[in-house]
Amino acid sequence: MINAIPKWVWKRYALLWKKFHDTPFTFEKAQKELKHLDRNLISVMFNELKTAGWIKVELDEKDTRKRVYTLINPMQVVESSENDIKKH
Amino acid sequence: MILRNTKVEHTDNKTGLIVKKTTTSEGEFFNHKIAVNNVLLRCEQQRLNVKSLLNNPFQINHIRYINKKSRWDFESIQASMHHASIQKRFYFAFQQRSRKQWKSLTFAEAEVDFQTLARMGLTFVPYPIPLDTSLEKWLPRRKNAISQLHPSQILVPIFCSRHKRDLFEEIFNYEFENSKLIAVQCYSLNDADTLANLIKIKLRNMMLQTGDEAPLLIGLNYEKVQKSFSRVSGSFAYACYGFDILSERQIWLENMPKEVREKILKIEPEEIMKYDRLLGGFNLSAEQEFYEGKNLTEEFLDTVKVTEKLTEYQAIQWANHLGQQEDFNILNNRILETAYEEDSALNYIELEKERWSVFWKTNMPKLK
Repeated sequence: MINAIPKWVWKRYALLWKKFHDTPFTFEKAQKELKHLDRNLISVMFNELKTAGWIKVELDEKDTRKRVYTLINPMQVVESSENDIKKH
Repeated sequence: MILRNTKVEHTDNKTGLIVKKTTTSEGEFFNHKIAVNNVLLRCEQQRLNVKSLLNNPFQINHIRYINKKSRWDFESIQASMHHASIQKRFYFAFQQRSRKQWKSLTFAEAEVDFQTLARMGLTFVPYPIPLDTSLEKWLPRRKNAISQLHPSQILVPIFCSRHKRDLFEEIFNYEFENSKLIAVQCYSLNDADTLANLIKIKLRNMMLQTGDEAPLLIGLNYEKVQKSFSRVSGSFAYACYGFDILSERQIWLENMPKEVREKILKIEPEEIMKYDRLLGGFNLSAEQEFYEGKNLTEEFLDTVKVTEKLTEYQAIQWANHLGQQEDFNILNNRILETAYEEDSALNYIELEKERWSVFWKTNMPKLK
């Protein structure tokens, strides 16, 4: 199930999508893109995206202490939302 | 202006935030006010003949400690008190203490400070309470202090947020039930004593119900920009703990080494933090340019008329104040709306303001 996200999260998501599309990236890479924002803010943002179903979080195959993030395609988000509406 | 009472207008059970209404001889006002402090007073004094001033019922004078002379600078009191009375504002003056000064504060020194300010004819007379004071030790001192005041004067206990945490709750709760105003000089949210004490303040404040009489809680000396917390506005961060009237830490160039002073005076607008209402926090020109594609600080300065007689720094501080106060006014409305729409205030914090949301989610206890 995909939920709506706050506008401020959407703005940051759009920036990450522009850079990574649906290819996996690390926290550090995201931090490099989201200049001037601290780790705390980015963590909360990822948490919002994860809870709302806008990002996939997996463990890094090479180092399981690390996480790898993959953004869900916005088109898929829209389609899922439409399907959810039809179901209900 | 005579303070009649402060009553709870509405409590939001989801956030624990409260709207209080203070009734005075001049009318009524809601809480969540950022007081006119030393910096804003200087702006007003420069603008006096130009435009209307800040519509604000509270003026707070942070009294400077003159490092070179090892004494407090009481000279600013008369002029600022006069300005407050013309503007029909509550006037509160207190000595802005450093952590070191709080640590060494004894009752002997606190009483001298209290008597000095009482003799100056202040209506609200601050009494700084040393860090290791228990309720038992405080009560006879309190009684004695009140006996020295004129009936029109009101004692305002000032706590330090680093008060010994095992002693704080009892003494604070006593004052909560017996004072009209309580002030707290707030230090970093990374400090364990401060955090524990602020949570106790929030918990006590949250217990208030609509119609209850309540003290006004004054949050003092916090950092304007919370750099360790994604640069959220300090006023918002401390309001989350229940403070009603807020006044950030004042910095005096006169107390700084010459090199630092010169560096500050040469500061360019792009190095001055500007409040962004979309974020609920502060940023610099570089961040604005990166995300918005334009320098908002520069754009704002272009709209300030030279005739307003403010320096670039002052104009930004003035705008920062207005922006934060407007956000607090909306927050108050949203708290009141929770009477019929329970998520209204929480949604405002979590959905509409990035920095407020991050601070709220990572620092506030979750309520059901």
